[in-house]
Parts: sequence; C-alpha cells; structure tokens
Amino acid sequence: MKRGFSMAEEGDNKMKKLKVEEEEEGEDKIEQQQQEEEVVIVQGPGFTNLDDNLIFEVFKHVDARTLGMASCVSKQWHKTAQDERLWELICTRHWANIGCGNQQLRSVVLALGGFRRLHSLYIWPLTRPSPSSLSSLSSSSSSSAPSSSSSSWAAPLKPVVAAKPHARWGKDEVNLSLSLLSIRFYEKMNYSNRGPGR
Amino acid sequence: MSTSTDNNASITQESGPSAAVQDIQKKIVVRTADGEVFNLKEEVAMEIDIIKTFFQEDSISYETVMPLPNVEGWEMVKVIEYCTKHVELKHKVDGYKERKAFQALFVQNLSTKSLLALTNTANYLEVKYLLDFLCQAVSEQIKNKDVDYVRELFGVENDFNDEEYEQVKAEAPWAHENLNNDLH
Repeated sequence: MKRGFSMAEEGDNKMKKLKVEEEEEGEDKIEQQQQEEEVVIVQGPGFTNLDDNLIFEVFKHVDARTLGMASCVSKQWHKTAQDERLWELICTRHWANIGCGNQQLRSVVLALGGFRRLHSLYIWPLTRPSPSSLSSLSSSSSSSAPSSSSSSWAAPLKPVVAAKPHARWGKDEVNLSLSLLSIRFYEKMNYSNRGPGR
Repeated sequence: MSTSTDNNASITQESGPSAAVQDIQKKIVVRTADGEVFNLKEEVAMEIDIIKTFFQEDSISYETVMPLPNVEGWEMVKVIEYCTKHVELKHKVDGYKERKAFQALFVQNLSTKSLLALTNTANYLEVKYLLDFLCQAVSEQIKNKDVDYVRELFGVENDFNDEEYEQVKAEAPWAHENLNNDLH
C-alpha cells in the first residue's frame, strides 16, 4: 500500500499537466450538457437536485398514481412526467400477449391521443373501481342506453374487470381500452367537423 | 518477466500496455474531489465506464492517477462497495437473495440527500446497473406520497401559481386521492 501511495505522489507531477487537460475537457463536457438540457443542475442551499435525465430514470420505476402526483411537483417534474414513453411503460407493464407488435401498438395509440390519455381515461378507472361503482353494477349494466356521451360506454364495462384489479390484462381488455380510445377520438373529430350545432 | 516476483512491481513497470503481460492483479489509482486517493482492483475499476474509457487510451498508463473532480470520497467508497459486490456475484450461479440483501443494506442508512448525491455520481461515473438500482431506490421514496411531502424531501420548489397548479392537478385528479391510506 505504501508503494501505491508514493507512486501516486510521483504520478502527481505527471498528472498536473494531464489534470489541466482533463479539467478543460470536463468543462467542455459540462457546458455541452448544459446546452443540451434546458434546465441546468441547480445546487440549492444544501440540496441536490436531479437533472431532467435522472428524473426520467427515476420515473421509469414508479406506478401510475405516483407519476400523476409527480407531474404536480414542479414545472420541471411536470415536463418530464408527461413523457409518453413513461406512460407506455405503465400501460404495457401488465399487459400479457397483446396480439400485435410493440411498434404497431405505439403508432396506433400515439395517433389516437397517446398512452397518457389512454391510461387516464380507460385504464385507471377500469382497474381501480371505487366502492360506489361496484354497488351500481346491476343498475348501470341494463339501464345504460347508447348515448352521445362517451363516458357512459365505460359504465357497463366496469363489472367485467372489477373482479380482479391487478390481473394481467389480456388481448380482450387491451382491445377494449383501445376501442374506447378510438371512439372518443372519432367523436371529437365528428364534433369539430359538424360545428357547434350538434 | 524478471521483475515479476514483487507484488507491487506492476506499478513500477515501464508505462504502456506492456504491463498487461504480467498476470498479477493490477491496481488503478483515482483521486476524488476532496483529495482522497483510492486504489482499486482492476476488475472493479473496469466496472466504472468513465475510468475504463480513461485508461483505454494508449498514452495513459496504469501509473496515472485519474482525477475525479465531481466525486466525493464517501461516494467513491460506496461505489467501490457496490461494484465489488457486483463483480463477486457475477461468478455466483444463484446470487439473487444475496444481491437483494446487499442492496437493502446498501441504502439503509443513506439520507435522501445522500441518495440523490450518489445517484448523480453513479450517472457521472457511468455505472449503469448502479444508477438503475439507485433510481429505483429513489422511486421507492416517492411512491404513494403526496406532492408536499415529495417537494420537501427533494428540496424542490413549487414554481406553479395557484391557477397553474389546479390545471395540472386536473390532468390526473385520481392521482391525488387516498394517498397515504393506500394499502397497495
């Protein structure tokens, strides 16, 4: 060990030149990084803030509710939490065989409004039923007639998945949620075409 | 070959990749921001990509002390600890339980501030699996917590005004219900 340290000291003189070069390189890299990221790493009083990339990496591991909460923490967190890739991860995490390739799924969902919207509108309500919806199972399933509002479409479906909130979703459930998303998309499209009269 | 008997001879060899001819375990020396010097086993040092890249340059010999100006001494200790364990477990057939136990201990006494600092360091040093683990540990700290708790924990300032906050909250109102009461 002693030898190791003394070598370190000798190496020091050689290193001084290298150190200067290394520091200059380091500075260039940091400047580059700062230009690439909109938010500079801010060392607040006593706290270490993470930059956008690291926050993204952390978000990859959280569940939907935490991500939804996180988007309200600050503007930087909001921007990062909106990323479609994160919501895609959350949506597909519990999906078993979905019957098509990931890239295919991605293009369809992104065209219809994105994974975040898909999750918020059709996955979350179906996997976390509130106590009131369970009691209204019998009343809603027969009485809901097809109406122009898209939200009523969701009601008769609650009994289908209410029984197992954390089961892996199969092809049927996935197709169902995608169908609902496309219906909503086309409804909105129609409204804008026909104008305020309808 | 004639000087191969001395254990530390590899360090005093002539500079350059010719040192690779020796099959004695080589050491790599780094210096952190606070001036602490660390001797790493070569196989552990090579787990750290930024070090690996540095020493892959032909003109850099293993005698060189690599400076790590963005790393504190205590962080280096932790990184070395993790990488050493990782290398050890590489050779084991079923190290899953051992890895889990080690990981639990690793973060046990780390404050959030330290955890965040270490995450930044793992990112800088480019140790992918350590970064991944640390990000997961950070995510555990924010799961099912409310906005105020997270802001305080991370020292993040709320830069929304009231109106903006209500707007973003409305994007996912379900995320703010029954938070700390959640059984899941």
